[in-house]
Amino acid sequence: MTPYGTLSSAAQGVFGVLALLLMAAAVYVLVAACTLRLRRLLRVGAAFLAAVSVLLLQGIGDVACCAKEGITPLLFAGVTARLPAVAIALLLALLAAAEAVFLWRLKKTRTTTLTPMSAKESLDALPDGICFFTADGQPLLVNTQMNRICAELFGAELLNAADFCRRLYGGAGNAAYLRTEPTLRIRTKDAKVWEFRLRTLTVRNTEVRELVACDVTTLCRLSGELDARNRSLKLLNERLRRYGSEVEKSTMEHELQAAKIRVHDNVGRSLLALRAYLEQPPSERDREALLLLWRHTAAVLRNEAEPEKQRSDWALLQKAAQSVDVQIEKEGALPEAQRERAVILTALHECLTNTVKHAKGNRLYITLRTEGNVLTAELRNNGAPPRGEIQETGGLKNLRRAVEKVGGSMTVEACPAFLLRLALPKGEWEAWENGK
Amino acid sequence: MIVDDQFVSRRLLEMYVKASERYETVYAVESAAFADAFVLKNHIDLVLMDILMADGSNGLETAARIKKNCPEVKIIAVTSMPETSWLKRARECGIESFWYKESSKETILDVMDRTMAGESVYPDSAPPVRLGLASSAELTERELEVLRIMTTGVSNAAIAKQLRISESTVKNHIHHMLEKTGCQSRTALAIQARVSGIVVSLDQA
Repeated sequence: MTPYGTLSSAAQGVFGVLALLLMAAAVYVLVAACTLRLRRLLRVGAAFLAAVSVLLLQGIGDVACCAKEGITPLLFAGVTARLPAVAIALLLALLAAAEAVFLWRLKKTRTTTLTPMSAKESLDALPDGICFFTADGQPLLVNTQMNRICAELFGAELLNAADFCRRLYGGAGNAAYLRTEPTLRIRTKDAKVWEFRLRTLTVRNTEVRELVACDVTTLCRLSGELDARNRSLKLLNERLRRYGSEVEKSTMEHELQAAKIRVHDNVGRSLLALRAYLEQPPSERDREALLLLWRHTAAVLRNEAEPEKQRSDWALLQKAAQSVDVQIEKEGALPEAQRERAVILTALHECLTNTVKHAKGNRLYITLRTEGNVLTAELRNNGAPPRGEIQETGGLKNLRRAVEKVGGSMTVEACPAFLLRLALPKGEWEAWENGK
Repeated sequence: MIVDDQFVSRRLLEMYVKASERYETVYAVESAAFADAFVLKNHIDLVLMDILMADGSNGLETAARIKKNCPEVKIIAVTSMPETSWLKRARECGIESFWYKESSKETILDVMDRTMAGESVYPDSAPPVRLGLASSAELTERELEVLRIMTTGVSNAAIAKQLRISESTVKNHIHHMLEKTGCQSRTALAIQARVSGIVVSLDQA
């Protein structure tokens, strides 16, 4: 087998270049294995690889040197020169294979392991700007966004962070300063709003400054809108308050006016009555009636008379029923809510008319019940049953319309006797009142 | 039967009736709400019906009901409000006669006599009322219609919808009324109209 030393210088050159490349690769592998903190065995392996490749390169280099100088290679160079060329080639191939395995392993580790570089990379992906620096302003870590902001403000990348802070907080930046307290807020030329926070951290007994720039553009816009809304609300509130006091004033005027009208009407009509009285022959004059009127007028003038007490709708209906000899017998209470009460009274009114006109009865019965949120009413009378089916015209038609308007339902039965059934949902307001 | 919500007014009518000796008061009722029930029996010949009641009941509606149930009962509508449209509505309800409490030339007894004799007594027009610089007679019927709805406090658009005319026509009518009456604003006009009683919206009363 041909010893390496006897190879032509061209062949030795090829071997040398290959050995140099493999040595560079081995050193890279060793450094990477150390920075990525690979397992110890692997690091030792990488070191061994590097050492072998360095020694090999040294040997090849020495053989080349001796050949050039024309001296016989001794020691390490001698060993290398005596080794068969095939063995050297094999060694180079082995080295290349091992390095390939290491490189593959490094690539795999790099994608699954965090390194200081990954911290920088992730900070660069942040939408906010961040910068760590020492007390004398030397930047330790600056992300891209912070560099971008610095360039926007001062036209240069961030080199001295302390200087940057001084100029930023001093108001020298090329931006609109929105506020300085409690945090600095500026609007840059690209219409973005940045809020800066500066604080000091202690890391392994060393003071580190942290400057963070948050993008608060949306927040700022929303808070601006909120402010505008609050202002308009305040205005509305003020108007409402003024309106309230106006209503009070107007109500007072209204009452005053009503009192004046009452006095005017009463005096006027009493005067008319006096005229009527005087126009009559003395023998037919009704002194009592006239006196009653004037007493009432005097009471009104002295503000002693209560405004005429209105009889309740129920009392009015009863009076009407009595006048036509009908007694209304009521079971259950009439609803208080005006809406339902009006419908029930309309129904009673209609049935009263029918009792007198068609049934010729003298009793009108009404049964009122509340079931859940529904008020039911049943109306009957003691008169003659209707002849044939009831035609819903006029009063009953109007009643149905009134019932349906409040969301209720109505059924009319003619057989065996007249029966009117109503179901009214209780008003939302009343339901709320009851549920309180 | 007398239907009037005001004590003095009711007593006055009663006095007139009593003094006449030709008539007798069967009932004097203070609300129109159920007044139609009274005439179902009781042989009532004539009803003196006030139109606007404080409790929100409406004399014209009650009169219409009476006319439906008992067409033979005669009715005289009685009011102190110069509201013009009520004359027309009273005629439509079949009310025999109409008497303005404070300004009719005839006395109520005259009207009662003539009505019972089969005559229908209606004043030619509602008594004139001053509305700002104008007299009520100077306003057209359409203008009064607009004014009547306006007093309920609704917008021009709502007035236009109710009368089935365009909003600009409504504006025109209001503008003319403001010119005629010399009122400063539509609110002032509406208040004056309401106080004078020239228009009274029964629907919201």
